[in-house]
Amino acid sequence: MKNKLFKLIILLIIFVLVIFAAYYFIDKTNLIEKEKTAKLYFSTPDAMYLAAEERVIKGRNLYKAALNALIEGPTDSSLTKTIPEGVKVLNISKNNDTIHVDFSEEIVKNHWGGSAGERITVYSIVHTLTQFKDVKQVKFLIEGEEVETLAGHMDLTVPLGPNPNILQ
Amino acid sequence: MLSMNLKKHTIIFLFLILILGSQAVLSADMPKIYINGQNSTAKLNPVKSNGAILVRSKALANSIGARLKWLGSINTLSMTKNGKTVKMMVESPYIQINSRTIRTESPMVIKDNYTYIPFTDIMDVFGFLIEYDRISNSYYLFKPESQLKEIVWGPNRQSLILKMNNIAPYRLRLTDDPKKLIIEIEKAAVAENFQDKVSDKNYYLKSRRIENQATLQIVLTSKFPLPINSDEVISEENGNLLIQFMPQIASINWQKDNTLEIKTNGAINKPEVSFLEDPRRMVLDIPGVLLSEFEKKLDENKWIKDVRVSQFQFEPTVLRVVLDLKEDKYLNIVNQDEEKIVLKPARRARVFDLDYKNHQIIFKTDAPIEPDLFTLESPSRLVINLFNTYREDNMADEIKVKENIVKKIRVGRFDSQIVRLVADLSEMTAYEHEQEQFSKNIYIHRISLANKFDDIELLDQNMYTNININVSGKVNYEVKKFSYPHRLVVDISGKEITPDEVKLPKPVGIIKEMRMGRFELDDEIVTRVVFELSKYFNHNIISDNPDNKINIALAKSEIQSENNLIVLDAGHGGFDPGAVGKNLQEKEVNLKIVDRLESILKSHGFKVKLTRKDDTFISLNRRVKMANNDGARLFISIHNNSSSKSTSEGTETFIAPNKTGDSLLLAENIQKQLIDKLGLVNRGVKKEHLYVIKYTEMPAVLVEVAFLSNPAEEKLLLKDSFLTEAAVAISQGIFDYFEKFED
Repeated sequence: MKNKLFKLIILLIIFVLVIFAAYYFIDKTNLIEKEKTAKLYFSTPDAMYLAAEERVIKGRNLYKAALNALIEGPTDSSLTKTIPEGVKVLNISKNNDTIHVDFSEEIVKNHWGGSAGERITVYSIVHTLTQFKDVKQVKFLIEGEEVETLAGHMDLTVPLGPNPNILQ
Repeated sequence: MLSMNLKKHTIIFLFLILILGSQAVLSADMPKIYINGQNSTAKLNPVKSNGAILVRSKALANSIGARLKWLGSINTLSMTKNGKTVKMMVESPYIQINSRTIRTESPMVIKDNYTYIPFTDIMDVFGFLIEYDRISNSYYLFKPESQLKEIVWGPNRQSLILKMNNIAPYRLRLTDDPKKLIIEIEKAAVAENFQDKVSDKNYYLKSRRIENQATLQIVLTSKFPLPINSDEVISEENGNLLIQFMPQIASINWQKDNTLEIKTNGAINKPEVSFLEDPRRMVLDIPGVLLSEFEKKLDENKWIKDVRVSQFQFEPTVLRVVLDLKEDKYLNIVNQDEEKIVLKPARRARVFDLDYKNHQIIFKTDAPIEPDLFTLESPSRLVINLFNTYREDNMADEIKVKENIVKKIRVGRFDSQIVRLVADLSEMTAYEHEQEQFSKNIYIHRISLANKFDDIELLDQNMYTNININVSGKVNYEVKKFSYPHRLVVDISGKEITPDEVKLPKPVGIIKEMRMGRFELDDEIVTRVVFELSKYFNHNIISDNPDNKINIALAKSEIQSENNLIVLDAGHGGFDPGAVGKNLQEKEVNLKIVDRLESILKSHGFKVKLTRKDDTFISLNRRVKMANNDGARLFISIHNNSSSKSTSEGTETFIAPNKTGDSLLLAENIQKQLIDKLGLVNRGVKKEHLYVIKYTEMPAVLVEVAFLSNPAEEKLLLKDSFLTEAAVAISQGIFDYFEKFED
């Protein structure tokens, strides 16, 4: 009798552990919707600095959700969008603490140009993604290809980390 | 725990749908929809669902003349036109088109008893083009103005022909990848029965639509670099679009008549020919021809072992053909027409009647030849190589000459193919060869030897006074500096050269006076040019020794250095316009500023090199290589700025975070001068990972003069006086840097 109860308890514990493990696994593999209050970095109107706007983001992949929110633009009218029209995030992959983000070609084609304009685009993405504690740097890809640059100035051949000087 | 969470999510989800649903009703920012130019918004009654725009199915079907059928039992709508049937189910993301299925982001919904369908997906299926204008928030749906029916190769695969029923606006986009080419055609679509006659194992063609734009993109990818070198290769011809390629090598064949034929699929230019030994080979460098897969047929023959072909160089394009010759065999180009070069085993020419008369070496051959002439030093001698010749038996081995400049002429045999004439000279001298056909089998060759002063020029510049002594041939010289009083002495060796031939120019700069004389020094005749100087700091001899020009720069002040090459980099170019303002493209403005800066720097004694002189695309990597390979002292990249907001303004200068010392000093001086002289907002000196300044190995800055996206600043950039002022400010910043640097 006692033995039977003991077996039951062990089974229950295993059952609970399996459920927890499964949940943990599912959580890790982007199968369920997650949410987070994230900082989205937009440009000041002089294109000099980035300022954060907090927003609740939701999605199976929070990196993608954060980027999509960034693409949508700021709600605060004193800030300016940093990503040109029509840009899509084609793919996101992670390699240790470097996140590889593949953007659609609109990020080049519809870009406004200029060193100032290119910096805000690049760093709004870098700062928005490096707020996740498992991301330290960002490697940019366009249409699946490695690129020299986005708008003719920034060096995108290597991954980029955050730039504290650009934060307001 | 898990179920709780799911429940929470479901509730949030339902709540969101509720909010979104109500928003769709309230939202006033519904887009306008035009079908074939007609505003159909009211009829279509667009609604928003899950962020996408849906329209009333009935109205859409009516406006394009499609038949509609509602199968209530399975919640399915079918729409038919021109034999195409589209079926979709309520809330299902799949749309069936005849026998295939596509996925939509926005499934059909039922609202107020009407079905609402994703019009962009449906219209695309029925062959409509969709263009979305963000500013007016309008969709334009229309039938394509032209259909792409076929893509075929032109004759000899030297062009690509896009057959269309109607020519629409088009453009060619070159990519960074030389193996990829993109053609964009406005308001065009690929025809139903489109034929791709281009794709094969070497080429791959693909068409795609740019989302929300009625532009058709044709992407051609190739195994080899695509033979295109400028953006003016696309044109209209007989109602088709024609893309002209550079000629490619097509075949190398050994012909039955014992000739070698090199064929291309287009016009061919005269190759540069050279001969090399060990192993014996003939090298043909053919300009403007690209490598490709080509036919090679070398039958057993007595002349060549093998042929090798490589792309020796791009920009400018040179194809290198190397013929491995068999022992003591030789080929000559006998014919070169539009698309081929023919080489023939050459008969060896006989050399005879060598003589020296009136300062001229004279000899004859019985066939035309192209001799190779050059001088060598210590001892001075002129070498004349006569390829594929033999000397007449009774030709003397040596001719003694009593003339001053030529001591003797030796006849040798460089190898079994080449007769070599060597004239021993008493000094370095200029030479000139001419060949004249005397009779059917006699060609007379005359080589004249003479040295004389062309002229002496003095040039007074900001930092240097320049001396240029120009001589017709190479001379040995020596430059000496004497003091009390300061004078610079140039001693030119040469018996032929005399001071009487040249008029002395007027002294300029720190040169007070000049004189010239001739005397004997250690058995050598020397012409001495003396420059009396008002002051002396330093001098650089820029010419080689011996050289046919003697070029000396006299520093006018303490500021001078060995290397003063500045590389100026005009940002963007070619298909990359950089920032685009209302009236101006950044690439044009950058080049204008660079042109002005170049002339200012040159007038101050700097050497200047430009990464681009015209409107061409140059990758960032190549810009860096140009500066590094030339060991430039400074790298200055000129740009103009832009951002997403028209209020951004001012001037900023960038340095790379990995190079702060000298670059920072340079950037600060340039930024200060720009702010002082142009008076725009000071955005400061910034450190940033910008490609060209990061990978250049010398102090480097990138200047963003003003904002093209700011209408007021764009107006300034349209003024020549503003661009000149910007160039003056940047040059002053460079001079200030050197002054501080030298301290």
